[in-house]
Amino acid sequence: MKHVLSLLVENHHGVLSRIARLFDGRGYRLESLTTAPADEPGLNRITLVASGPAASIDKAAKQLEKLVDVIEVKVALEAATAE
Amino acid sequence: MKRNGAEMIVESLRREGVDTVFGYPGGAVIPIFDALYHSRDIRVVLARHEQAAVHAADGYARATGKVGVCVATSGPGATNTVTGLATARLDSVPLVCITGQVSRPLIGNDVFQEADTVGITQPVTKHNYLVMSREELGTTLKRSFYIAESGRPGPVVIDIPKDVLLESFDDEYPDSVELRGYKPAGRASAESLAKLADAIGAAGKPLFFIGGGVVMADASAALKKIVESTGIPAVTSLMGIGALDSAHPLNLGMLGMHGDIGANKALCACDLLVGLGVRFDDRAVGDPSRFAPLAKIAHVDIDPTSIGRTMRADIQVVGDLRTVLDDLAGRIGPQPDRAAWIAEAAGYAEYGESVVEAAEARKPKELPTPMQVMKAINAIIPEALIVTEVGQNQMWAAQYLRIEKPRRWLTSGGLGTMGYGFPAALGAQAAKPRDTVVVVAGDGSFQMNIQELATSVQEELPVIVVILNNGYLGMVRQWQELFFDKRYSAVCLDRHGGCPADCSAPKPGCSAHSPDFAAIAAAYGAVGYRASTLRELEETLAAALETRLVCRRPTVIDCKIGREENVWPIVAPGKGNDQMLYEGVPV
Repeated sequence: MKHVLSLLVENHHGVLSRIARLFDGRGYRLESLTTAPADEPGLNRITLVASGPAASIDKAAKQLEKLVDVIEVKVALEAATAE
Repeated sequence: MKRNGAEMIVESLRREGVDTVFGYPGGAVIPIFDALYHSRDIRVVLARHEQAAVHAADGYARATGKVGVCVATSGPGATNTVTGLATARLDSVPLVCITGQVSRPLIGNDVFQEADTVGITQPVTKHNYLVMSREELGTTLKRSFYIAESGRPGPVVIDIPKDVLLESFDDEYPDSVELRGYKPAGRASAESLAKLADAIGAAGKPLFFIGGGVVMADASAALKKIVESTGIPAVTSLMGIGALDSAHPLNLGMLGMHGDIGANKALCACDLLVGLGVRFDDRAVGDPSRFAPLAKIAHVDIDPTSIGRTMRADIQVVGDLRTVLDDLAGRIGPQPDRAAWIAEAAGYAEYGESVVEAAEARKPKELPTPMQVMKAINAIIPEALIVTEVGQNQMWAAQYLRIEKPRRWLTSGGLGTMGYGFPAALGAQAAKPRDTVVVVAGDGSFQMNIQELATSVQEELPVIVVILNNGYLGMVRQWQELFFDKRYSAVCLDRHGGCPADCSAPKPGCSAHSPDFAAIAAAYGAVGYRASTLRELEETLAAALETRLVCRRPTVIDCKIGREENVWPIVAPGKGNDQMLYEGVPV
């Protein structure tokens, strides 16, 4: 099952590795990840596709929200067919 | 005001009300210790190992509720903090750990004493920072203290390159900080509180399950009020000990793997379990499918990711226990008559006590039993602030000691860190000079940070260490006895060259190759005693009390106990809390 998530983050040191580690530690694989400056200076928009168990994607999203530098998490799409 | 980075750190400590810093110097942090040299209002406690410095800051924080602060140098100094940080993270202890880093132009070159500290400590901290400019140092320090103590507390590492410590800049320490992505939970929603209050009112056999979150939130008074006004009995986790007087008639004790028989029985019978600031950790839960099988589960926690993580939660309340319990009390209406349930729960507790007392009565008493050791500590030092090591000593302390108040029971619950207790006790003693701090230790775990005897003597931190000496790494030996056919592999601390390879029991004539703890204590300038009878233990405890008052020196009491004493009951791994064994027999 693939999950598409969209995150708004502070562009601080280490933010990308924290997010990546969170998926690694839960048995997800990151299929793709893009990061680009958001409209507001100092913020970035990260869009990622992760594949892994469906049951725990909400838990992963909660854990992402808990990260100090993550402002917003949206589970944009969850579908086996999402490419 | 113009200050260099190190001076800004000291300014931050002052502004945050820090009176004690635990640390160990090294090349990269000499500027910090130089700035501290001039600040007479901040006590610097020199540990003898960075791990111990973190545990000491942790003990300071748990005993007071304030943020504990420690300083370590770059490279090995920073890597030595990892176990202490992981300990604090799993038990939600507020810490700020400042590490030195090599100067900015050198980072990434594998220079002397360089390690990727933020990379290494990221998984074991609540948050961490690498400070790459002097301008951002003040804000980063302020943020770190705020993150460490707010919400679910935890350790924060600030890694600061040496040239940032030495660079001067004209700025002031900020009064407040804003963190857009960080919103710790405050009051619980009215809707969730109403649901919980309704469920409590409708329950016939409700039970509170109290965790360390109640202690961290300083919510003990509110908890006591709710327990007494509703008459609902309570069980605690290992971390929840002290949140409610362990001798309170409605406190059934600790649940879980080595919990009280009565607590586990009540858990299996209740129809509503209200978890307050608990994680439903695996040692408490056992087999999740057999956990509180008849109950609806309500879970109150400040951390939304804790709720529903290991156990289903039928009612979820996200909020800070500082306010949740008072808010809940305001919503709880008149309660149904639960005399039958209270009597049933009391019956479980009585049954549990009768099992334990009968077993105790059967034991030979040449050497003090673990229960006798704990009762002696309680009797001679009733107001003790207890800090434990990890293993059998920790479980016996949890089972038999009476802990009346919160923040007087410090133990490494989540990570189970051997070597935590002694240095944590030094931190607690530094924070609470008037309190009598007692370390319940094993002969294994005490040796994991035994070098802190130097700190305790030098800093006049007169803690009393009681070693329950069985010549074994007792908890592992117990598991080998119960689950590995008595193959005592690498657990005997008295072992020597003449021993058979396949030892499965201590024998008469086994020689003692363990160190002489009393002599070690004396060599460091502390006071050391040996006790091998209950009477000797009682006398040496009384003497230790005298020593701490008269000459502020720490005491180590090496108390021999039976070599193959076990911790009972046990819920074997993978089993449910209804499948307890006591001395191998189902209870």
